[in-house]
Formats: sequence, C-alpha cells, structure tokens
Amino acid sequence: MQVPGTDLTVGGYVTGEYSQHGAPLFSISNASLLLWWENDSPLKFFSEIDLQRGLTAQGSYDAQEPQYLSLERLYADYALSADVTLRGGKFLTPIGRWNQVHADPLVWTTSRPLVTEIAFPTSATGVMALGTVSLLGKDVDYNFYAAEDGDLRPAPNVDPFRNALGVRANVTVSDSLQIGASLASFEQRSEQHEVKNLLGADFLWQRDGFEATGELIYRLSESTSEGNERGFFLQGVAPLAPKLFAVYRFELFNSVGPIPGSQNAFLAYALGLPGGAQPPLPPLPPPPPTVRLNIVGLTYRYQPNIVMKIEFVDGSNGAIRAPIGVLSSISLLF
Amino acid sequence: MRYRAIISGLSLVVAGVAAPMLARAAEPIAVIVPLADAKRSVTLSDLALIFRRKRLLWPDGGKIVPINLPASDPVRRDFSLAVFSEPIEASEAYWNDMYFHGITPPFVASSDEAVIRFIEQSKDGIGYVPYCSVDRRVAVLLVIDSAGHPIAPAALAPLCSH
Repeated sequence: MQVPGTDLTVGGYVTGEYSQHGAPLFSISNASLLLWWENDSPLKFFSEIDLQRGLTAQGSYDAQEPQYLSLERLYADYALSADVTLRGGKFLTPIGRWNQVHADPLVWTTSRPLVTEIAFPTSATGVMALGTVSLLGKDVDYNFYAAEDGDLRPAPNVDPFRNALGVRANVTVSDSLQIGASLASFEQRSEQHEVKNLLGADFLWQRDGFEATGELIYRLSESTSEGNERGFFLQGVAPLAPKLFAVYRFELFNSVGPIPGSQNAFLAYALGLPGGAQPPLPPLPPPPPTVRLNIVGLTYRYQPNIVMKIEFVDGSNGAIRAPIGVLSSISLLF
Repeated sequence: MRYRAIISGLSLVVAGVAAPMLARAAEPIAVIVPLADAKRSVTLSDLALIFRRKRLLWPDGGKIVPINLPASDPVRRDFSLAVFSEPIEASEAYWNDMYFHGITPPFVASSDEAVIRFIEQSKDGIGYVPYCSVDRRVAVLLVIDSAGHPIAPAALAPLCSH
C-alpha cells in the first residue's frame, strides 16, 4: 500500500500459529512490517521489522524463543546498470531458496526446514552485488556478498556472521525449472577463527499447480573442533482442489558430524598413552545427531494473500529444534 | 420455443461481445516507448526481465517504467503468454515473492489509449498495445504475435486501415 503523496510503500504479514507438541500453544508467531521508499531514481531503501512471538497464549517454549522485536532487513539498493544493483546494509543471506522468501504466507508449511536456518546465519550485514544476466540463452540471477561483524539487532537465536564471503546463482533452465547453487565461507561470532565453508544446491519445479523443491547443504569446518554439518529436504506439493493443496516434505539433517581429533584423543586415553598411568576414561563423543523428519500437511490458499496450513511433523530425533507434533497457522500478507 | 429464442438472443449478445475481443486478442502486439527513445531496442528476453522488474535500467542509465494493460484485457493475456510463456494467473506467486522484497508489479493503465498517453508523456517508459492502436505519439520498438514471434514491418502494412 503506497502512502498517499509519498514514494513510501507499507506492507507486511502476520501469522497466528497453533502448535501441539507437548503443551498446546497459540501464538502470533510473526508480525512483520515492510517499509520501502522508491522513486524514479536508481536508489531504493527497504526495511523489515519483525515482532516474533508477539502474543503467546501459553508460554511453553518461551524460554527458547522469547518475544523479540527483530530488525530483519535494512538496506539501500543502488541500480548501477541494467545488470548490476549494489546493496548495502542488513539483508537475508542468499543461501538456498527458502531463506530468501521465508515469509509465512509465501511458503507451504508452518515449520521451516532445518537445513534452511541452522547451518548458516539467516541474515548478514555487509555489501552485495546482485542482478540478472543472460548466459547461453538462460536467465541467471546472481548474488555476490561480503559481510562483517556488527549485525544490526540480530534475533537472539541467531549466531551472526563475524565475517563472510559468498556467491549464489540461480538459473532459469526452463519455464518450469530453476536450479540454484550457493557457496560461502564464513566465521560466526560464537566461534571466532572457526572458518566454515558451505556448499549448497537447490531446485524448484512448478507446473499446473504441482511443485517440487529441494535444498541441500554441506558445511565443512576447517578446524576439527566443529566438524561438518549436512542435510537436505525434498518437498512436493499437489493440488487437491482449486485452492487446496497437499504437501509432503522429507528432511534429513546431520548437525556436527564425527570429530576425528576427539576420537584420536579418546584412543590415546584408552591405551594409557603417554606415561603409563591409566586415567579415567573420558565419555565417548556423542554420536552425530541425525534428524529425520516427515511432514505431511494441507495448505488452503483462501486468497493469494491469505493462507491456512495444518501439518503433522514426525521426527526421529528431537535433540535439535524440530517441533514434533501438529502445527497449524493462518497467515495474511498485506 | 421461448427458451430457444432467449438462448438464441443470448448467443447473439455473446457473439457480439466476444467477436471483437477475440479479434483484439489475435492482433499483433506493439511494444511502444516515447518518441525520444525510438532508437532503443528490446528483445523478447529483455521484455521478460523488464516486466518482471528484474531489469531496472536502460543501457543509458534511465530507470525503466513498464506499464501493463489490465489483467482482464485479452492483449495483456496474449502478452503474458508471448513473453513469459504462461498465463497471468501463474505469475501470482512470483509477485507475492517479489512483494516480500519490496518489488511491486508494473503500473496498470485502464485502456490502450491510457497506455499510449502514459508512454507519450513518460520518460523511460515502455508499454504495449494492439498494433492497430498505435499512432504517431509513440515509437514502436518491436511487434510480436501471440506466440512471441517478431513480425516484420512488411507483414504489418495490410493489417490496419490507418
């Protein structure tokens, strides 16, 4: 909605969520306000603030996700040429597809795939060059970005970048298929000097109301203390009626993997080396927590901007934040 | 008998409305710009980027101002099929995604004449109208059929009385 007499536009979305994993919980999980300014110059300003868990009927998981006013995005764009736009400020990290359009009314499920938010900070503060070019007759959307420490008002559950360099490309292969690839090298604030290299791949296929999408992440740590993290999801959507869709998603996420250094240390202890004295055995390193999730749901798109969802989430490991149970929501994009 | 007469009458009304619409839909589509921009050029893939608002600037740095016909207009629907190879309805999800990034669809003008007037007075605008609606107020950059194929000027001459 354009503010009369100005070049400002205001929009946003709000989501009411009801979940039942343990104690039932109703919450306004997101209330997001978008505000942007654009006129006929090449300059544009954009911001998004998000009140997370604004209203909660029962505070069963408030300790993990407290109410918080988050600055999701705040940036300026300058269109440099037909193919290049420069962006400076806080923006969504261009890794994968879901993270960049994660607003509840735009996605098919209430829950978010683990691989789209655990393996990397979901926002970055820095500079980016982005645009669309034609290569070999195909449109290629690209992002090059660099981030520094100093993330503007990060959400409390996010471990922000200390520094990051990354690139993403998304190729429109045909009218119904897009394929993307993401590369990033970064350090996070909680683990300085722990350089992580991330490789991601994703796709989106859409035709006649059917949709298939998937994302794959492989994250390697250069030092041995952190280990590797990897996972993927595959999601299918099929129309059941003009506004009603069935959704199925499978997720596999392996957080910090086996740690060779720790295993070697454990062997040294077990064999009594060095010195001959037999110290007490240290505990075995925990097995890598692998989470498998199956999500089956229904999504009713009452209007293009009003979406109702219900889904059943079944998982094999609840150690990582992955709500197991029934989730439902109603979202409005305005 | 009475029902047959009513149905027959309705058929005439429908035919009277639909025939011009169908004829309008089948007409070649002219991509137009202000006269001052007559030396610019566009391809079909440029149009796709411009009308999806992925390309914001002309090569000379001017900010592109695309303008659409209403979604119910057969020429708009033909333009969508020609340029994006999909009906207008298929782009709904795309524009919702773009809205999340602060990008809104091109402005909509209510008629061919409104598009022509807008383009005539705009700086860096681009629009489209049925070929036979074009007059000397605007410049034509490209003429396409509903399949998106460019049409040569020689083939266009017999199409319009003016």
